[in-house]
This record gives sequence, C-alpha cells and structure tokens, in this order.
Amino acid sequence: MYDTIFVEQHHKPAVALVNEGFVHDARSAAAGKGMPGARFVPQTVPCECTVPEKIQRGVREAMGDIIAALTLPLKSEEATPPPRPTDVTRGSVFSGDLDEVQRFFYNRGWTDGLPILPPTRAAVDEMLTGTDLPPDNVVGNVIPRLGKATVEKIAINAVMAGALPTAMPLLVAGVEALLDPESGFGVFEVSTGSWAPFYVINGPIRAQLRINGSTGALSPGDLANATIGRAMGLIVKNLGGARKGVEDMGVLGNPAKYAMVLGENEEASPWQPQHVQHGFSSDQSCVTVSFPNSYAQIVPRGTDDCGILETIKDRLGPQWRQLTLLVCPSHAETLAEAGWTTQRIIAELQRSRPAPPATGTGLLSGPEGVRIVVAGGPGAWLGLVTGVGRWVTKPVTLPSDWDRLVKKYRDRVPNYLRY
Amino acid sequence: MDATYDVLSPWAETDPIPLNGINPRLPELRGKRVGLSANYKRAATPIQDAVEAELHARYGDQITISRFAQSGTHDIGGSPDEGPRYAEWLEKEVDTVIVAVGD
Repeated sequence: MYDTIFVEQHHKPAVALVNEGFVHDARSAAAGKGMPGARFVPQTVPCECTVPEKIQRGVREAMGDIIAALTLPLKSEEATPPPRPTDVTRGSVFSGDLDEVQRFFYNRGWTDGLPILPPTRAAVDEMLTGTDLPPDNVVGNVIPRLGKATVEKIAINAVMAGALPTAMPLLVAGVEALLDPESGFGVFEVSTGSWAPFYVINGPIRAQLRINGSTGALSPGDLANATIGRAMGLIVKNLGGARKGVEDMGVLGNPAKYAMVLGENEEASPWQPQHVQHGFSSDQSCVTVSFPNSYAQIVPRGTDDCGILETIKDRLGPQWRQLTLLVCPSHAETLAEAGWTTQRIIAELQRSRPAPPATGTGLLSGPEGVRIVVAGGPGAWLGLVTGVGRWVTKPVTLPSDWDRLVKKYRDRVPNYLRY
Repeated sequence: MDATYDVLSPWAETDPIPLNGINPRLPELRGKRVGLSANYKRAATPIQDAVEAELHARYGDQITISRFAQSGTHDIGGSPDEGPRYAEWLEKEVDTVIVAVGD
C-alpha cells in the first residue's frame, strides 16, 4: 500500500491489487500512512503465484472492481478522512486482581500469549533504576504504528516480561538496533517470511547479567536470555503495534519471536569476539540484531577442519542471503589450530556457495554475507542461522551506579548452575 | 490472587499524523495513460501482464499503458535510487496507476 500512497501523494489516482488475505494489512497500512481512504481491490491470485492461468483468472475477476476504483467518485470520508480516536496510554489503565489483569492485557492484544507480570508504578520505577535516561526520553518511533519508544514504555514492557532492571541498558540498545534503518526491521517484522530478531550479546554485560552463551544457550531456562528476548518481543508488539494477521503477515510464524538471545562464548573462543571484529572494543558491551527465520543444527562428518568446513559448505543453500554461523568451542579451537581465521572461513564459504538462481539476490554475497559467533558448550554441533538483511550492532550505555545494580540482582541464578 | 494491581499501559503514544484524502478519480479511462506499477515480488509483474491484457481487451488502443517495475525490495518511495525515478514516471507518463503488490 505504501507505493499506492506514494502515487496518491504525487497527485495521481491509484488503486492497489492485493491478495484477498491481506485486506486488513492494506487497510492498516493506508491508515498508518495517514491516507485511510486509499483504494485497494482484493483479488484471488495466490501469493507469489507462478501459474499464469490462476493469475489471469484472478485479474479477470477483479477487473471490474479495478476500473471502478479508478473512476467512481470519492465518498466524503475518502476525500476528507475523519480524525482517528486516540489511545489512552498514560497513567493507570486498569485496576484488578492478578487474574483480571491477565485477562485485561490479553484481551487487548498486549501480551505474547503467556501470563505477564503486572506493570505497577512501583515495579516500573524499579525497572527504571536500570538506566540514567529520563522516563520520557524517546529512543525512537517503532513502526508500523510509529509508537513512541519512551524509556518508560520500554520499562513497562520489561516488567511484563519479567526482566530485571539490569536488562534496561540492553533493551534500550536493542530498540536502537531495531530502529537503525540498516536492520530492515520495518520490512522483516511484518513479512510473510516470519523473520524474527536474533540478538547476540557481547562484552562484560554477559557475565554481569548471566546471559548464557554456553550449553543450551538458545533453550529456555536462563532468566536473562528469556526475559530480554521476551521484553523485546513485547516492545515490538506494544510500541510498534504489529498485530498478527493484520500487520504481521508471517505465514507460519516463528517461535524465535518469543526469544532468541545468546551471549557469544567469548571466553571459549580462539578468535576475537564478533563485535570486536566489527569495530568495538572488547570491554564494550554490545547487542547485535539480525533477522533470521531458520535455524538448523548439524554435526560435521569429520572433526578436523576439513570435515567441519566441508559439511557447512554442503549445506549452503543457493537462495541464502545471510548466515550467522554458530560454532561450538571445540570446532572453533580445531579450526583455529589449523590456521583458520573467521575472515578466511567466511571467504571460503562465500567462494564455494552454490550458484544462485537467475532471479536470486544477495546469496551470502554482500559485503557481509556471513558472520561467525562462537556459542554453545561441550559437544560437536554447529548452528546455521539463516536470514536476510544486515547485522546491526549497538553499544550498551550503562547507568552510573551499574556495579551496585549488578550486585543487587546477581543472586538470581538456578542453584544447579555455575557459569 | 486477592491483591489489587493498578497497572500502567504498555501501549505506546503516537504523534497525530496529518490525514489526507485521495485524489479525485478519472471520469473514465478512455484517452488516458494508465500506469502499471509492480513491486519486487515475483507475481507482481505477471499480474500486470494480465492487467495489461485485460485493459487492451476492453479499451483497445484508446488507452496508453506505461509500466514501472521496482527492482529493490524496499518501500519505493523511500528508496534514494528508485524513488526519484518513480516520481518522475508518475509526473510525466501516467494519469492514473494500478499497483500490483504480488501478494
């Protein structure tokens, strides 16, 4: 619809042809751009259709509506849209017991389906101790609603997710990363491809928050990994307002939208951490976001460097555009001992990638098609995280009393774990 | 379960955006230049092929068709490369536009 609105903004009447399943999306996009009357015609051509007969039939059936949309006079609300009602977003919005709060939030579409912690004034104030930024500081506007990502709204969603105040610096940096145009967030978060944000954390904050980068880093069970990912998901949902089936048109969806967060296992890596390889200092904590939609785990057919690399090369897909390669510590050590740097590995993978189809794009061939992150614990598995777009890394700004804050919340650790 | 919670809204404020109406329609398509714009999705251009065939079947040479196919994958209006070309095409070559999205 954005193209259609662009046409209208250039003083030409326009109509969009959209698949009949995207009617809500089209209406929302038009309203979000301030042109709720923009005309569109639902048609029955299947999405991404390659069957000429179906395309021709769908277009033929819609042709009368298309011509009407270009020629029928405007209704008054199309010519002069009525003002939209404004949402109440400040102050207390509800009072009730725990069950009533859950129901209130769920019914408004403000949760991820799981129960939330009630964001009371006291809980939010405690969350705000995790940053020196004022509550009304606007980090940015989150699409598609262009909701203001104030520090307080970030904190409210963080409370709901069960995050600790020490997560706040990462959440602010995470929002900055998403809103960097390089991330492609605006396209990927609502795409039919169900791309999900994948957050890699580097630097000292990993240990301070007990962010897991070792055994089972991507599994549930770590408070920081789980709640940081969950909070980011709620931030995207409640500040950006992307509703499933309305704006977020991911066909299959993606469990990684709950949480996909790990810390790089820097201590077990023979190479520089990935954020250092991209210009940050080793003592700088950073968050890196990318948008994969798939994650495959493989065991190399041999545990020497050739066995590891040849197995990865065999798995490279001709349509892959971006790969985050998760290398477990033992394989990283093997590769480094054989003289492989991350740069050499990346060059080798790009050199040997399969030929793209004639209509393909990207395919690991951009300036940054592959990144390597050392992650996981003992064992022999590799992770192939495939996605689109670019990685965006943002430094984390800590509050002035960070050491005290870390100490205050650092005892939250399952008693079976020692990192 | 007996405790009462006064809770804050997680929903973001938005700045009011100016609302705009759409442009008056053409009285009819005969004698007009109809633009067919296709985005990057693979069905978009074949859809426009079908639209062009239907328009020709209905209007013959009483209308003029002009095509624009987007090459990038981003919002065309925001594209520094294609946005200006698209705007120029709109200004100079078409009276009205049918936009095919591809899904």
